[in-house]
Amino acid sequence: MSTKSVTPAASAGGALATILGGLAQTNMVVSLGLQIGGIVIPLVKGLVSEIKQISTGQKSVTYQVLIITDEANLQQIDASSIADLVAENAELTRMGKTPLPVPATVLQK
Amino acid sequence: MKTRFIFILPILLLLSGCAARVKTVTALPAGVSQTEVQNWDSAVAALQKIAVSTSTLRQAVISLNKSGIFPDSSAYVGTLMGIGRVDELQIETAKILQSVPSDWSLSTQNKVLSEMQQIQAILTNLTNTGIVGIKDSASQSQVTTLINNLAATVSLVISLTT
Repeated sequence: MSTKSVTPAASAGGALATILGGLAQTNMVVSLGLQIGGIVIPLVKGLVSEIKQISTGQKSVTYQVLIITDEANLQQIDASSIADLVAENAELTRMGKTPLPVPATVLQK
Repeated sequence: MKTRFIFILPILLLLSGCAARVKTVTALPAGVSQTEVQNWDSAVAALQKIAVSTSTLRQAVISLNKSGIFPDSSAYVGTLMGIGRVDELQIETAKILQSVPSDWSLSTQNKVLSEMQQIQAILTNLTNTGIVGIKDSASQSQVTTLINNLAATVSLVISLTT
């Protein structure tokens, strides 16, 4: 197992950085800060800072930390998606409609 | 009377747990390339942003219904079902990525691409036929913006597969 940092290949990673950097600069994602009914939802800060970090490439982590962190993120995605489905089904049921199927299992290690 | 409503977002909690987006991954196992790991990690990160945005969209739509701006109708039902299908696709994509950690082979890319293309189609349908049921033009415009940003993040994932 090597512990030496490796310079990313210019192709795929570089293209992604360019895209993300462009998005950050054009504020395409900034508009995720919602203002509905006069209320501003500050959704933007974490998102933009992450995009800037990606585009400028200031982070370095070990493979092990990366996998563990992303595993937790995948479980969060799973949990929030199921929470959404439960809420949507409550609405559908209230209106007498057939609810959507909710996956029986969640992500497991 | 102008209707005002607030929906509480669990988003900040989700954002606080976002994946580290990395320029350099150290201590790579033998046979695992830097680019492959980065692309896989970027896909996970983008998927999380998609999930956060979808959850925001769901909460916004239901809040609009509660306030009477998006009344019970076939458009409201269609919107809920569309967002629900996006949620199902998010779960499927998360399972794909979890099953092959750090693997960004063509097989993985094709599976993820298929999921993202399905989400794109749903978002287009939501814009064209779902949220047209929102009675207040300003609110409809804001929800449209949210959908567009969601679609932009989906496009980011797709860009990783090409």
